[in-house]
Amino acid sequence: MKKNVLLLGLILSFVFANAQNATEIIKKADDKWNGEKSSQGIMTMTIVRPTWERTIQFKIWSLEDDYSMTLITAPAKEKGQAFLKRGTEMWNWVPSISRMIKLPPSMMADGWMGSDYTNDDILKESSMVVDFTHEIIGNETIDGWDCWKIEMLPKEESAVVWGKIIRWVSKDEYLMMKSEYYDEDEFLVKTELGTKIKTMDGRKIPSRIEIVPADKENQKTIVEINEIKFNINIQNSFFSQQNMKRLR
Amino acid sequence: MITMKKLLLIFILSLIISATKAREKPSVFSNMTLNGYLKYMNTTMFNDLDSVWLVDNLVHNRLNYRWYINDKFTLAIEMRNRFIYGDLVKFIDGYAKSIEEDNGYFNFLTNNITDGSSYVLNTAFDRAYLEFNSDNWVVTLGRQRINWGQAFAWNPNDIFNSYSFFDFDYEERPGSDAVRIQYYPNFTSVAEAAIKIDKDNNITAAGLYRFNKWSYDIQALGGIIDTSDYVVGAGWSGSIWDLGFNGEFSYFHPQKNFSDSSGVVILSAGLSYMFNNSLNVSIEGNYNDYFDKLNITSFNDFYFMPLSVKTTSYSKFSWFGQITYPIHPLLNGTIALMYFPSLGNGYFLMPSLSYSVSNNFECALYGQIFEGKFGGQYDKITMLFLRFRYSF
Repeated sequence: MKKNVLLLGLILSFVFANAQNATEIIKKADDKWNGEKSSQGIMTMTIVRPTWERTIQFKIWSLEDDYSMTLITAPAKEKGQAFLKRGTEMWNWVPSISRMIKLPPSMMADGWMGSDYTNDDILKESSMVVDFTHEIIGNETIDGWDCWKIEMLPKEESAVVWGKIIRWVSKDEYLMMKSEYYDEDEFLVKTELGTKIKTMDGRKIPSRIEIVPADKENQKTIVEINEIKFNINIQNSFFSQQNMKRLR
Repeated sequence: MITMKKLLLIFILSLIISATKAREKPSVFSNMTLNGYLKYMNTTMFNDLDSVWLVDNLVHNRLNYRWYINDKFTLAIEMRNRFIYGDLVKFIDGYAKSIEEDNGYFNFLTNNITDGSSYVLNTAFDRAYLEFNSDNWVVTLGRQRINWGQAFAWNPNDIFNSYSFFDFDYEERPGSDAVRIQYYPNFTSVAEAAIKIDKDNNITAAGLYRFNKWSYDIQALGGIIDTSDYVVGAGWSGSIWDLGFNGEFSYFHPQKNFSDSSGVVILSAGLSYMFNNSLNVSIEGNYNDYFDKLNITSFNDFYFMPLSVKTTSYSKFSWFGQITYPIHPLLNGTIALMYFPSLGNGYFLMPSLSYSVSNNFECALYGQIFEGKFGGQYDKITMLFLRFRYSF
């Protein structure tokens, strides 16, 4: 009898695990990537074109979906520039001219520092969990990882710059292996690939993200995570205009 | 002068030490940073292609030094060193002397190290301050940039150091010799008070409060400017739908004969929008009550106008438009146009191209064309600038 109950429990948990709701999967993958509460990282972004490359290094701090801060540490000309996001508003501190610039909304879809990464990606203006509806539309294997294929459609009231996102999340470890971003006319804009899976701060994550624009061959932007810490002790008050000027 | 040179030598030595030691094990030097740039710029100036061309050269170095003494104190020293040689030095009377001019109280911080009939070597400390940070307070003491501007081309709120759009090669601007106290009541607001003293002992003292409300940054300010005028003003940055919308206005009233005199208003407001293809368009309008008191009699009056917040625009109404577009990810193109109806429908056109050669090396070409009626006489000036910049 006991054995049977145990077996039933096992079967049930298995069934439920498989029938996980798509939103939960996205949330788990998102939490794992961003830290459930907060994170702090050092990253290198390389813009790769057939005949040239440019590199930007930055530090990033984030708390929940609402707060983030980015400090550019290279190249020398941009070093010290900081970006603050609080809720839906963003500021850019430019130390060379000592000016705090409030960024207008139309800047959000623009490539960050000339890359294939948008300001929206960097500052996480929209939440992958809250601002979209999610549905599992298949199972596929990416780089040897068995993945759920999930379709994400923006909710009407959200200020999302995308028309649709298709995301592949591994069933083991909840890794974001691949994402396709479509515009409002359903044309593919860019593909994001997670590679170089590593254990960083105790969790397995892709340590390298490649962003490949759809309409441009031989172009990509690579974001390499040099260092990352999850769920650090960081307060809402860290994300202030006063602190923005003091980051190093 | 000798003490100045010694001071300079000590400073540069300490910079070199800090730069070399910074990479080693933690020491006092690991709390120091040094960066800056080295630029070379060629300036060519003429009325018409067939007229005499004046050619001038500028080798320009900037050093930004920081010492993060501890959690609370930071020392900042920034200097620019310029070697200027060519026709402008040769033909413009008192050019070297004008380069040595420093309007600050600590005007000994700008010096011509050496000059001749065709060259001048100048060094200027345009930042030298100690900053104290504690809880929500920041106190800054010394030569610093106090930038209160919100608009793009003209900034009537920028009462401490005003900006001339023409001088694109000096975006840092001179510093003010001032004491500034800032209090941050929350994460997106600041209340501040500053007092500045210039070389003639004139005082500018003002307070500003900036806060974030209805998705706008809004600021109000008031005080005394250059000992002579009262000033009140306000500024904003926000958006109308997806259009960036910012502006600012200031009202100046002479202190002397307060009730008998009339004040002047300067107002700027503009819109900006970035399209999906990164094409950025900005427009701005400016109204300046003060323009008829400017007494512009020549182009030189106009171009070398001593910078005061009241003289940042030259026409009763001025209009500005700018288009910026990345022609290629490494090649950025900009066209800026200003229109001055009161200067005989004069205009200023500034096209530019900047090319990123490598991560830290940039080369750029700028053009400036001015045409207008300056003191009853039509004048046209064309300038070309070729600039190389290495940042470190």
